[in-house]
Parts: sequence; C-alpha cells; structure tokens
Amino acid sequence: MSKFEAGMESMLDTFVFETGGLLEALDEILMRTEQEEQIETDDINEIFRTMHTIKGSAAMMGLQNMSQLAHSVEDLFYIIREEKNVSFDKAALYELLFTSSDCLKTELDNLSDDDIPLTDFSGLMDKIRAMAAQMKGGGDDGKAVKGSGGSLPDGLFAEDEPEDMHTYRVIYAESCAMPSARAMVMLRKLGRVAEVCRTVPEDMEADDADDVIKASGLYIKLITDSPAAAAEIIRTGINVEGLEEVKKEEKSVRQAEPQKADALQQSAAVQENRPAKKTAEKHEQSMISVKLEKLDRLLDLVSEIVITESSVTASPDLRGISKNLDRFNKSSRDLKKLTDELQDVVMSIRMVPVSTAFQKMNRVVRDMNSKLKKNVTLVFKGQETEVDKSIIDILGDPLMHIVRNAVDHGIEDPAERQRQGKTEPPTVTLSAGYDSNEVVISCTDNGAGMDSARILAKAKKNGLLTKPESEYTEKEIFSFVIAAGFSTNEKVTEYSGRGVGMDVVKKNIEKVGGKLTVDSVFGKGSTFTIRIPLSLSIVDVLSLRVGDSSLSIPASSVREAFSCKQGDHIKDPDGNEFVYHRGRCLPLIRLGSALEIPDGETDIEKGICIYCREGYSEAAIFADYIICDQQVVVKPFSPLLNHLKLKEAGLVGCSILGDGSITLILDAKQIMTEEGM
Amino acid sequence: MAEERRFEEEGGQLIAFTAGGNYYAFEILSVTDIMEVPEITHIPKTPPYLLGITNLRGKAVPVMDLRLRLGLPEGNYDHRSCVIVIELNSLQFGIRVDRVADVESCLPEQIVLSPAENGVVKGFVNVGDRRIFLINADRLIRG
Repeated sequence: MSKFEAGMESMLDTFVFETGGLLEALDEILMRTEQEEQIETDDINEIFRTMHTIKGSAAMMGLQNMSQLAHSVEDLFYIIREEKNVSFDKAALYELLFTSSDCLKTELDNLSDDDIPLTDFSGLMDKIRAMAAQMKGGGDDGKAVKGSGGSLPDGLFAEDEPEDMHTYRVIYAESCAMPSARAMVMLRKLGRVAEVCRTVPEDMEADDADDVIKASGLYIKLITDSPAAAAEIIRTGINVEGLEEVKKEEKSVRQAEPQKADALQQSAAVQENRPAKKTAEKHEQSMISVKLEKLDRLLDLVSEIVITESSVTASPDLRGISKNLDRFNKSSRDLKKLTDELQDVVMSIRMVPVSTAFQKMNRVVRDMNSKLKKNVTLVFKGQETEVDKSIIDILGDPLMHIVRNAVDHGIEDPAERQRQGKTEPPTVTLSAGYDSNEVVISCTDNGAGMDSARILAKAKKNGLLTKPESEYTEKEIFSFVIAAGFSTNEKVTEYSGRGVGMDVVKKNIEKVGGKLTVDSVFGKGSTFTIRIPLSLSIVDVLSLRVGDSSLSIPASSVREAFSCKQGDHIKDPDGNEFVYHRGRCLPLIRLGSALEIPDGETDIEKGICIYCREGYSEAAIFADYIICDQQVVVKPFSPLLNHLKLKEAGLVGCSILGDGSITLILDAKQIMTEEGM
Repeated sequence: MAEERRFEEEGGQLIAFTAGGNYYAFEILSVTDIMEVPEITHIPKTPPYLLGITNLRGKAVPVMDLRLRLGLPEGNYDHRSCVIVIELNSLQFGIRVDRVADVESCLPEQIVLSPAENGVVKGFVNVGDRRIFLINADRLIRG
C-alpha cells in the first residue's frame, strides 16, 4: 500500500518536483527576510501562497499530514496578512517556519520509499496553532459549525430548468482537508458521462469553496443520458461520504449509504486528462521542465550522431574513389558544422548554474550559526558558473560536508579569534570556475588553518606513512586529513582537524572522476578544492593495442609513455617483474597476462610501457603499441553483464569509435589493485 | 514475467532455431533483431560462452554463443549462422545460433512446461515430429 492515493503515482514526480521547488523558494524568502525588521507584504503574500499551493497539491495526492501542516502555516500567515498590527516573536516564528519547511522536505524525499511511514506532524502543528492563537490574542479558534442537513441554497433550482436536469448533493468526509480539490477531480471525471451545468459553490478555486462545501455539501447540477453512471462516479469519488439526489419538489431520495470512498476505481482516462490540462495551462510560460532521462537519451543520440557522422565522412570506401568529391566534401563540412553545433546546444541544455547547489549552503551556515554562535558569513564567487546537471546532484553532499567542516572546525570561536587579533569577520567563501576541461569548486575559510607537523605526527601514529617523514611535502601532509582512517574516531577539533566523513566525500568525488585537494596555511585558514571533469561521459583516453584487443586508459591516470631497454627490465626470483625508469623501480603489469588476452607482445623492448599513477599506487603498464590518444564517450557495460564483475576486473565500460569498432575502457587504479600494487 | 506466463497459457508465435542438432525457440515478442554474425569485441576475463560485445546501431550489445552456454561443443559457423537479439527488461542481448529455422505458431495445448523449476529450458513444444525447447531467456542470460 503506498502512502498516497492510488491512481496518483503518475503525478508523484510532478508533485515532488513542484513542491520541492516551492520549498526551495520559500527557504530563500525566509533567509532573506529573517534579518529584516519587518516582513514585506509581498513576502507575506508569497509565503501564504506557497503554503496554500502545497496544501492543495498535497491534499490532491491524499497526503493529509503534509496538507494539514501546510494548512496550519497558511493559517498563521493568514493572520499576519490580515491583521497588520499583530505582534509576534519573530525568532520563534522563523524557527517554526524553518522546521516546517524541513519537515516537508524530508517527507518529500521519503515519499517514494514505502518502508518509511508517513510522519505525524501533530506536535509541530500544535506549536504552530499555539502561536496562531497567541497572535489572535487568545481569540476563539472555533471553526464554522458543520451543517449536515441544512436548507438548500437559494437559487439552486432555476425556473426554466429542463426536465432531465439532475441535482446531486455530495457530502465529503470530515477528515478531507480540501474537498474542493477532490471535487475538481470528480467534476472532470463526470464530464465524460454528463454535462455539468452548474455547481454550488460555483468556483472550486475560490478561497471559501472549502468552507462552503464543508458546511453544506457540494451541489452538482448535470444533464446526462446515464444518471446511474454519473451517480456511480460521484459515489466512488475520493473521500465522498454521502450522496443524495435533490429533487425540485424537495423530495430528497437517498441514493447511497455513506461509504468509505476508495480511489481504486479511478480510471486511467482521468489520470491522463489531468497532466494534459496542466501543460495546457503552462503554455504561456517560457520555461518547461523536462525529465532528466529524456535529456540523457538526447545526449546519447547526439553522441551517436557525432560518431556516425565521422564514420560516414571518413569512410574508408571513399578512399578508392578517384572521382572529384568536391560537392560531397562541402556537404560533409556543413554536416560537421551542424552536428558540432547540435552537440553544443544539447550540452548546454543540461547546464545549470552552481548557484542552485550554493544556495542550499546558506541554510547550513544559518543553522550552524544559530547553534555555534560563530556568526560566520558565507560568500559566493562565480556562482553563475554552469555545470552539467548530473554534477550538481553529485556536488550536493560533498559541499555540505566541506562547508560544515569549515564552519565547525575551520573557523575559531569568537573569543579565540579575538585572542589571535583577527579583526576581519569570520568568512567562508565558496567559489566556482572553469579550468581547462574541469569545473573547479573551492571552499575557503579564514579560520585557524591546519598545523602540518601535528597532522604528520598523527598520521604516523595511525600508521598511514608510506615513506620517511622528511620526504612528505605540505600538500601530501594535508591530504592525510581526507584519507580514510585518519580522524574518524578521535576528537580532532583540538588542532582544527578535519576528516569526519571526509574520506567518504573524497571517495564520492573520485567515483565520478573528480579530485579533492586540501591546502592550508596555519593560522590563516584552509581551502578545500573539488575538481570535476566538465562532462562525465566524455573522457580523454590513451588507446593501446594488446593482441587483437583495443584497450583505453583514461589520460588522467597516465603520466608518461616510454620504451624500456632490456637492461632496465628486472625479474626477481618470485616471478615479479619491474622496470627501472628515471631512477625509480616500477612494478610491471603486462596487460596481456593481467587480462588474459592471448597473442600480445612479450618482448619488453618491442612493446611500450605506460607509466600510470593513481593516488599512491603506480606501475608501468605494458602493451603492444599505442593506437592514439582520443576523446571517447564512455558507455557502461550492459547491466545484463553485472554478474560477471567486470568492474572488479578493472573494466569500466566500452566506447564505440568512429569506425564502428569498440574499445574497452580500463580503470588503471583497479588493475593496479588487482595486481597487488 | 507476466507476459511469459501469458504465452504459456495462451500460446503464440515462436522463433525456432538450431544449435548442435536440437531445436530451440524464443517467443517472437522478445526478439528484436536477427542478423548476420557481426564483428564482436571480446571482453577479457569473461567465461568462454560470452563472445563479447558488438555495435548494434550505436549500442554496445553483449553477445553469447548458445552452444557454449549450453555446454555443447563449439560448432562451425557459416554464412547461415546468425545472431538473434532478444530484449529483456528493455536491455538487449545477442545469442549466436547455428541457424534460424522457422516461425512457428503454437497453441497452449502444444506447450508442456518443464518440471524442472527455473531451468534454462522452461518448456517443450511439439510441432509435427519436432520437439522444440522453449528457452527461459532470463535464466539463459543471467546464468
């Protein structure tokens, strides 16, 4: 049993997306207005509207808890909006607002997971109601008495009403927060079997529609050929508790026993109707939201076109043709120009400014400020820098960790800052920009910085050193703080140690081909820098031939290629092989034997050695020869091959080249690990 | 899965093919392509029956050899050998067979389910004097 109304699954994505957007916008308003003396009328209205919308759409989804929470906040702002002179505790109000916003966001995130039950917000709602009551000055908060019988509204029956006009009175369950929303769904459905002439209340979107329906029920007047079908639709409507047909002669015929309405019978047609109407309404907007999967597919197709284009225009068949190919060449140049432009446009569609990721940090810093009393200012630089949407999604968590660390451990207490004689305000700066083919995002604080000597001592204690202490450069020392097993178990705040969860952050960034580096000046502050390749799917590789196979190593792990002399090749009694290169002794990995590829070159002088380095592991990888270096679109292997554990064997995917052939993409690090480096 | 069960209950069309003298078949609805044996790129460190991946209209589709997968000796492949591409949960997989025989229509009463639970062969169809082994594609591919 899912949490929302059956039949609403198709709306889930839209609901989560739209409500998420609204909550983001709400946070922004709250952040902006928190420090101001007075909340502007526009902002009050905006908050009111946001909550109203969330209330409506949550009710539509059947999420009573979210709907009611939003409703209570809406009520609160109704008071603020109506009574200009009402006085309230602003700090407490904002605390409640932020909490509500967070609760709603968490609930949204958990929606698709059926294992997490709906959260009960009644505690929070009580607090909000208490505040509302306080604002009203303890005034009555009694609701309108719900009339069950009631007299018929005036003018329900017109004089010249046709004979076959049916009038129904629909009563909604008391627990239904927004009967008007339910009614709209039902009316739309009714439209298929009947012509709905009039309803009382007339306008479902009016502010008081809910109250009217709750008080005296919903009257529907319709003309239909099949009254039974119409009645059935009404009776099975969501949250409908009772239905009666009202006759002009005031002879009410009870049609249905009150019944618990389930939405099980919601037909597919209505579901299709609803989104259709939604898009129709949005036509005047200049922005549309598109599913990311569609964009992914589009990007895939464009990469195919680029590849196919070059396989057509550079086809080997053309070489034999002695005829004049001028026109063909001109057309293929035009084609190339167009496909290049197409590729650029598609790439740019997926680009979003990093500000979306940065803005979220405002909240993190605000919450920490109120807890730690450090009064840290968050500064953004280059937040208009655009990166691929998938990168933004990846950035979210690492950024939060890094910013939290900077505020928590990086920036000193106000008292400590005063002792150090630091006069400038405590600041954390997030900046973004491009560098060659990478996006560079860094987080700089002007806090205490890190003491390299103490980090080195600690690394030594934890057994992380792999070479003599004196050989470590500053950079290498600082990178210890983001290494696994550095500071997870001991309190490291004493020397502004970072590293709580930092190794996880590092791993996540590396998973997508990015890099995390640390730099610090003791007493001045630290900088964490994330570098992520601009596009995750297009990679520079060095393609190698081994036997019949074409294998590609990402250029980022390649240091250099060299040919090895017989004299520099060492084989120890255990069968391990090494090569001497520039005074270093590198372990030799023969790709042919490591990957069990037959017919490869075995003579060390005839093949080529590729010096690869990933983190602290390095090796010389031996292949027959270099085919070329090139840019390829990496495709992961078909999920149907998952059980073969190709990743563990050092194969990350494949790529289809311009001539239609396939090259396999290797993970140098995994291969070195496999070979025990 | 539901679709497959429907096939066993209602019958339908099969694509029959041979490998090592026996007749095998996939339901026609799961087959997306039948093509000549294409150029196949071997993937290192995989079992011998997995021939590798091939470029099917810009997609890297894995291809296996049916004989080797079923533990039969490798056959001699000629111009009539081909690769049948089947689709499983919208993912494609190629299977190299000796040759494609026929498209057969079969009625539910012709289908006999295999008593072995979750075997590579999920049932048998008798067409004339031929016995066709109906393959469980999911089992065949995921091993």
